[in-house]
Order: sequence, then structure tokens, then C-alpha cells
Amino acid sequence: MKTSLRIIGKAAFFAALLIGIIILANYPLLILEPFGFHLQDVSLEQVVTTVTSYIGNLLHGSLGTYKRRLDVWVLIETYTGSTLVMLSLSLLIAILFGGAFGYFLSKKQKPRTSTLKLMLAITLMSVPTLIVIVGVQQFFLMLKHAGLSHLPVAGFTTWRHRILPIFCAALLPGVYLARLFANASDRVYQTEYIRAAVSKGAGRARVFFVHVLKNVFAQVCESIQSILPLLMVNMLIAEYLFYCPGLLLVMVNNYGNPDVVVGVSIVIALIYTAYSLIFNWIGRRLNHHMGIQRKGLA
Amino acid sequence: MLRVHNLSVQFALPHKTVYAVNGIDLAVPEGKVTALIGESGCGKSVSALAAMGLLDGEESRVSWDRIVFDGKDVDDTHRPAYGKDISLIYQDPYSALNPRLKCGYQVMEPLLIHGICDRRAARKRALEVLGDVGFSDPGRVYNMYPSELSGGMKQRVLIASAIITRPKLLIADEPTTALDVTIQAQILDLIKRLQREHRLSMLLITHDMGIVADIADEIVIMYLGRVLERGAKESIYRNPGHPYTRGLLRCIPRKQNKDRALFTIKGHVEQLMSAPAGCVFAPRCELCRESCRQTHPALVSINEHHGVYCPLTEGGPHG
Repeated sequence: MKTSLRIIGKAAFFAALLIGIIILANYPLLILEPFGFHLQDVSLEQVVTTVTSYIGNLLHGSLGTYKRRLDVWVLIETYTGSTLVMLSLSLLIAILFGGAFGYFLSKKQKPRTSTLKLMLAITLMSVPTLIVIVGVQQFFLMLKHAGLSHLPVAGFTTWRHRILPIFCAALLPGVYLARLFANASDRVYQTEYIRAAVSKGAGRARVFFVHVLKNVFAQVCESIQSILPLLMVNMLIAEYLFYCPGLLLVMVNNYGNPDVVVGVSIVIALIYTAYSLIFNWIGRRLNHHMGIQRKGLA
Repeated sequence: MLRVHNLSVQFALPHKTVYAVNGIDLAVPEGKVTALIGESGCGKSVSALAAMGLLDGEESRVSWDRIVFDGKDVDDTHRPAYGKDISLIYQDPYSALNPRLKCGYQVMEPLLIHGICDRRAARKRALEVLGDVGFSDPGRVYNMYPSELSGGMKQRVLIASAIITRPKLLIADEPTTALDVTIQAQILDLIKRLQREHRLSMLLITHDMGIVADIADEIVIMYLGRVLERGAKESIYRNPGHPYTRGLLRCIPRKQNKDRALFTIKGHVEQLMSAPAGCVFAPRCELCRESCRQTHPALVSINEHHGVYCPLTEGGPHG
């Protein structure tokens, strides 16, 4: 009974979300109505008709059309692959970079924190992605002129075009993850079982890889989903500035076409949900036997 | 097996440096049990951790004149292998086991760390030791996570992990404190049995005089980072020299005193930051003299195996 109610609740939430997206994509100015701004003259019947028509189309597998009556599915099929690759690689790099940088930032077994390390992390977190990307582009252009690098700084035709956007999109979420990783790591290093491992004769590397890493990852894992929105926003900026289009850029470029906005939003929401579920599942698996309360850090 | 001379541990606080352990001597004879007794916060565990070299934080400074382990001086070039030569049983089994590693792995880990045998042999040995510490189905426990075990079972796993390498010295840091009374007796019996069977040299840290009476051969009484009395168990129980020891012994509930209120030592333990300059027990001592407040008393021998840091002891200069 409880499970059924939970499923019904979640289904209702997603349905409300979908209706919200449809209304916002078609009548964006309606969002200002509750604040007393009457900027769009739309009747309730019109809104209901639009929503029911969209849901009807969706149930028949259609996402509408764009430009010269082309199906939105074509857009989605074209860009979903590259978006998935970029998102997955950016996420992987953010996790690897976050882990390594987090280890550097953590106090390990030392009781005092390093102000310099903390300042470094905060400084990196406060640099806007836009500036990072422009800086990276300038730097690699300079290298290119000096004949030291042939990495393209814009475009989308080869996989080499994706390298810089992926790294730039991953940087900020990576620093954010590093802070989470460092905090979790500090907590784990203070536990009695770490001292017990040291008293067994375990060296630094063994303590870290066998005793700390698994515990830290289990704590950070469920928080990874909280960096997904940040990663997606960074990807959008990277797609735009590196001219390396994916679903996110397609959605922004077609914001005047409600069919594209709704269709792409649904796909992006599905991708986001899938990634969240994967990390949620990994976190649950890691904490499954422990009988300990999972502590999400976000 | 272990002799520690003039061990001190200092902690640097923002405005002051305090001595958590102040020039203590410790000895654990081979195959015997030495009990380190004292109230919470008196420096028992810190002493043991410092002697093992496990207290290397930035805020603590450990110094000693000499540490001899197994007949050899311990220095930077020669240190006993922790987990192999010296093992430690922690006070709280609930936090001393890694919640994300199987019990079996945690038991056999010292063998893998010290390269004593390969993984297969280590597993076999772990199963044997789990059987030794009283598990009827070691194979099942081997594959369980700590959260699936009760407190007593966890402590058995910790004990199995501590003895798997057949250490020369076992340090048991209040091994029964975190357990409920019924389990305490079982764990104590287990430690006693293992100590006798393997002829383990053991440093038992406790605040329970009842446990000491049951298991110890030698006793060291600590108070506020200082040793107040040391000696053979029989001699101390028969003829306690220090007023603090006498007070501790009077605190043990006895059948014949069941109608009387339980004895308590008056006053409270001073904070380390405001530890007295002379005898650390002076503020609570009913026999205290002015001289006791001036300097830390010298060791007074009651007999060959029994010494007291109190000038008022019979046989002492003022006795």
C-alpha cells in the first residue's frame, strides 16, 4: 500500500513537471502571472488544449516538428549521442579530478588544515566557467601559433574537437567534488577503524586504498547527482563557446520553438534521471550491507 | 617483553602545553599481564598508543629515555612491527571495525600486510582464529559485515584480528568497557584463555579493579598522567601503599558491605591543564602534607616488586 502510494506520488510529480514544461515552453510569460504581470493573453481553455494535445502526441510517440516540418526526433537522434558521450566523459573526469584533488586537499591524518589548500579550492570554485573557457581557448591558440599543440579550440567534426570542451565542463564540478571528497576523507581519517588499520601495520597507501577510498566514495556517490545540473550548465557554455553543439545548445538555440524545447527537455530530464538513478544505485549498493545511515553530502 | 622508561606525552594547546603522560615507567614481563589502571582521562590509553608509536599527531609530542621491546632497544632504525609483534584490541568494537569491509578480511589483514602468507592461507588461518575466539560457524562470520554482528561478536572479531599473527605483546585497551555486563564476562574469559594458551604478554588498560583482580599479574596505578603505585597484584591487593590505591580498592562492592553505602574518593579529578605541581593526588588526599604539594614524591619501595610514589607510605621516609 505504502509502495503503491509512493509510486503514484512520483508519477503525479513527473506528470506535473511535464505539464509545467509544456506550459512554460508554449507560454513562457505565464510564469510572471502570479507576480501580478499580465503579459500574455491566454485563456485557460487554450492552455488545456495545448497540454492535452502535447500529451496526446507524446502518447503516440511524436514530439512535434521544427523548421520546415522536420520531426523533433531527428534533432534528438542527431545530438543525443554526442551529449551522452560528453556528459559521461565530463562526469568521469570530474570524478577522477575531484578524487585526486580532494585527496590533495584533505588533511589526511594531520589534525591541522592548510589555509592555502582551502583558499586554492575556494578560488578555483569562484572562477566562472566562461572565463575558464576563454582562457583555455586563448592558451591553446597561443600554443597552436607556437606550434606546440594541434588541439582544435572550436568545431565538432572530430573527437579531438571534444577534448577541450569536456575538460572545461568538468573543471568546476570537479573542484566542487574535490571539496566533498576532502570533507568526507577528513571524517573517515578521524575514525577509530583507520587507527585500527594503522595499528595493524597498514601503510599510507593501504590505509587510503583499502580503508578510506571505499568509505569516502560511498559517502560522496549519492552527492554526485547534485553536481549534474552544474555539469549540464557548464556543458551548455562549453558547447556554445567551442561551437560543439549538443542537445543543450539545440534547446537554447530553438527556444522559440515549443516543440523542440519540450522534446529536448524530456530527453535531458530522462538522461539526468538515468544518471541520478545510477549513482543512487551505486551508493545504495556500497551502503547496502553496512546498516549505517547513508549521509548524502549535498 | 616491553620496558618503557620515562615516557612523556605533551599536547600543545593554543595557550599552554600540557603533559598527558608525565615521565612514567612501564614494564610488561614475558607471558604476564600488566594492568594499567586509572580513571578516565588519566593517560592510560595515551601511554599505550605513545609507546606503540601510534600518537604521531602534530599537536602531540612523545618523548622517552628508553623503550626496550623483546630485548632490543626501540629507536628510529629498529621498531617492532605493529600488527605483527604488537597488536592492539580497541575499546569500542562498534567503531574499530571498518563498516564496509567483511569481517574475514579484517581478521586476515595483518597477515596480508606483513606478507606472512598468501591470501588463501590467510583465509584458512582467519577461519581457524575465528573458531578459536568462539564462533561456532567461522565461515559465516567470515563473510559477514560488522553491522550484522552484535557488540560481543564484534569484539571477538577484533580479538581474532589482534592474535592472528601471534603477537609478542597484546595491548588491550579497555576491551570490555563498551559491552554490556553479560558479554563482558565472556570476553574477559576469552582473553584470559587466549593469554594462557598462547602465553601472551599483555598490557591491559582498564579502570575496573574487578577485572584486574581476575586477570593481571602486575599492576600500575595511574592518575593524571603520573604513576602512583606499581607492583605485583598480590602485594598491591594485600598491602596497598598509596592513598589513591586504597581508595580504589575500597570502591569495589563487597558482599559483606552490602548494607553500607558504596565508598567514593572525595573530590574530583583535576583537569590536566591545572594539574598540581607536586603529588597529582594531593588535592584529594586526606593524608596530604605541605611537602606533597611542593614536589612530585620519589619512589618508595615496599618490597622488591612493589613501589609507591608517596612519602607517607609505611617504610617510606615519613612513614
